[in-house]
Amino acid sequence: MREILLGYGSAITYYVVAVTLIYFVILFLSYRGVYAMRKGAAYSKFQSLAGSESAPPVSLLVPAYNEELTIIDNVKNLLTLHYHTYEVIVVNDGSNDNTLKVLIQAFGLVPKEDETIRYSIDCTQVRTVYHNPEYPNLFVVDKPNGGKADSLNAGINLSHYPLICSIDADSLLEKDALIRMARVYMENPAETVAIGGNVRIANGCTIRDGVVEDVRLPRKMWPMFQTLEYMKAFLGGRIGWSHINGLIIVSGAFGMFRKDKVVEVGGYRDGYPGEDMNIIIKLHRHMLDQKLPYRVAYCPDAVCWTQAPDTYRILSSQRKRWGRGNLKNMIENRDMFFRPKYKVFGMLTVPYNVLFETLNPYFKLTGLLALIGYVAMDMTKWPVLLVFAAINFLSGYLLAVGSLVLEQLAFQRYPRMKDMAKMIGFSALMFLGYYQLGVLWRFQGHIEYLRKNNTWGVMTRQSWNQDATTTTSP
Amino acid sequence: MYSNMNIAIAVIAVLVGVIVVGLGVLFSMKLKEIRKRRDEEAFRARFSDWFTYILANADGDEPLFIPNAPLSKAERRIVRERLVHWIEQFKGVPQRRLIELAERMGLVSEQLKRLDSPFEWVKLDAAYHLGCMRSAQAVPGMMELLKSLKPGPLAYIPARAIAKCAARADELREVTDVLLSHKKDAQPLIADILRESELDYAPMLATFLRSSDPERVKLALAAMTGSPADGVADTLYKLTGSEEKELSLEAARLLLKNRKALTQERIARLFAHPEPDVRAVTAEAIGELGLTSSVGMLAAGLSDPEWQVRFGSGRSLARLGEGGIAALREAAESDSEIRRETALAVLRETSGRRRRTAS
Repeated sequence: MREILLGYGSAITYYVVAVTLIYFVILFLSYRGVYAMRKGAAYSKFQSLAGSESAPPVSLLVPAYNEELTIIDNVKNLLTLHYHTYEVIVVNDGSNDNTLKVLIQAFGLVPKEDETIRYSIDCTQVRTVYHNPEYPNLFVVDKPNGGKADSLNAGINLSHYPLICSIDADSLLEKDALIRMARVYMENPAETVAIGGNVRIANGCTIRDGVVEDVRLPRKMWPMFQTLEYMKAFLGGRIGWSHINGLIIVSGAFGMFRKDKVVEVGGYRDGYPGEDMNIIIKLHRHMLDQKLPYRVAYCPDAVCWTQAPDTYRILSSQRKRWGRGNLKNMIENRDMFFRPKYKVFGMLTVPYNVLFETLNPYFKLTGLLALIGYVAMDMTKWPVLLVFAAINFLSGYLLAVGSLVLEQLAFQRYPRMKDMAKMIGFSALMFLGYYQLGVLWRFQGHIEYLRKNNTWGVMTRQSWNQDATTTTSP
Repeated sequence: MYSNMNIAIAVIAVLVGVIVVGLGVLFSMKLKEIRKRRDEEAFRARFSDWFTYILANADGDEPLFIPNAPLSKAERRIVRERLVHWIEQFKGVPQRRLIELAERMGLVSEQLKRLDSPFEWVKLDAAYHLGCMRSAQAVPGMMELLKSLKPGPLAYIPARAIAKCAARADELREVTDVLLSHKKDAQPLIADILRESELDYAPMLATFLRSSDPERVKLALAAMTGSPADGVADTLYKLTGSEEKELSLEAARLLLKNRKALTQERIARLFAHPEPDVRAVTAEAIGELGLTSSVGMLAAGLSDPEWQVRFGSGRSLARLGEGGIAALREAAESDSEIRRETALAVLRETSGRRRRTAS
């Protein structure tokens, strides 16, 4: 029995090493990819391009469910972007609070009778479209509650432009974020079907009139952990995956898409979380099935600032939802697993996600338990457990350091030495509970999936001015 | 087990080593960044009078003075960045005087040397700055750099720089040839790059428009957006008959901006175009241009099988005064359901708009 436990534990240790090696390859690709991205961005004339008619018109879609605290700042922020032609479509998804009322009051909106919606993709019937000619590029759609995907589909049906951009209602875009993303599209419109933006955590930053004025690290523990986690995922991971056209997700908080392609795949999937991953998988599948050249790009210098959950309850709810969404997407698309037809996506991205993301909690938890069992039977073997823990910690910590180097090399968003020291310290602290909780939340998400729980979970919104909070549970 | 433990311990040792190196790199980069920022602030404070003087005299007559004190490498970089920023913001005399100042300070020759560097990133940096400083001398070197780069975001850096510096139209043509050969459908971006040039490239666009290569035609159409060149109306009209939807639509859009080129016959042909989008933009343009002679044509458009043509026709009728409204009212009583519904919807929209305006 002891030998079996030790064998299994050793196998899991190798699994951890394998995951780490793959992460390193991705990190290495990120380093390679960031060079061209940064050079291309640094030497582009965003100021003039933003005012140029050559920039493609974009429809910004903002699904809003009980967002009365943040929606006005968010819309103000979006209405003042540096971009030639764009529209902002806020979709009020049957909010229970005053989201619609505050929008109507703040922007003097009235029902727009001369708007004809073409239902090119399925969505709940729109009740009213609101507009004010004084804000010609703002439209507010009011519809019964149907979920985030349904709201995005409604926004697509109303949108007037060939590119669409999904933005969360609790997020703020930097003024040049849209033009930076459009530049990536303009460099290769023939093949680009989607572009992901870089999502950063705004907790702790100073925000005035919907603009992040002073970048600071969060003061609270949970957002601080998430800042590092996002940095690792977006810089250390997504740049690399996009370099080999294997990106599996474009964050729902900020992503740009070709509308015709989204319509061709039937729009966003309704009724389940993980719609941002699902749409990207559908686009990969569609383009590869059609044997068309394409790319899902990533633009790390197009930045969107978002509010991170700052309590255990909200964070765990969010992570369980992500776990459910991930599992659902992997099960639905299991036919792509190791299918040469789906190229990098089928041969690398999907297997990586299944083996190292979806199944990660099972391998890690059982491996740890096996080694604990092995050591419990002979306490003199405690170094085995120590080695397992050390490899886990050091490999993860090295990746965190690699992401911090990438951040410092290419972006330098956190200017003070104190910030750097804090990030290095917290990167180590994450191994003392946070990562383990992440594994647990994912596992709980899988249980929720089996119980057919497909709700959005608990979500809190906090005003950007941090003077009020509200809690909603759809 | 022994060998497994040994491997594991070796892995741990390697990981610890790499982490230590990584942290060392991270701290040294941060320290360098902080020092650089501090030095820049100090330099800006020391030279703030000179910067103010340059800005105040950018459009004067006297030659601009160079700072008296010799500048270190870092200080030259700060001066260069500031001048480049202003050169990009200004046009005409101030821009020329700032370029001349940059030349006298040796900033251009410095970058020309860097353009010969064996390192790609140095060359790209040099090309960007030479482009901003409008160095015609740098064009051959930048062209060589452009041709050496793989298709991708980096290629647009020397391409834009060449467009800014080009003294001859054939240099612009060469840039467009290279970029089009990358087959990325990036015509709008290439058109934006061409707009950087001070040369008159309209003749080049006119030849592109007549070309048999659809990529060149698309580029010409993209570059003419907003202001189609004179004398191309016939070519545009011919292009509206192209089998490629994108070409015919863009050509129609451009043609419909030029009222002088729109004969009744051309409008009628565009309105009968097999491509619904072309019919829709034509319907819309008739209203925008106030072509009251086309009321009958628009009234017929209310029965078009495509909804956007029907609504475009209806909305344009609403903009054409009494004649248009009368046609809509007549259609609202029509036996054809499709025609009647469109006319009623447009009449509702119009009265809604009027009510809003009145309130």
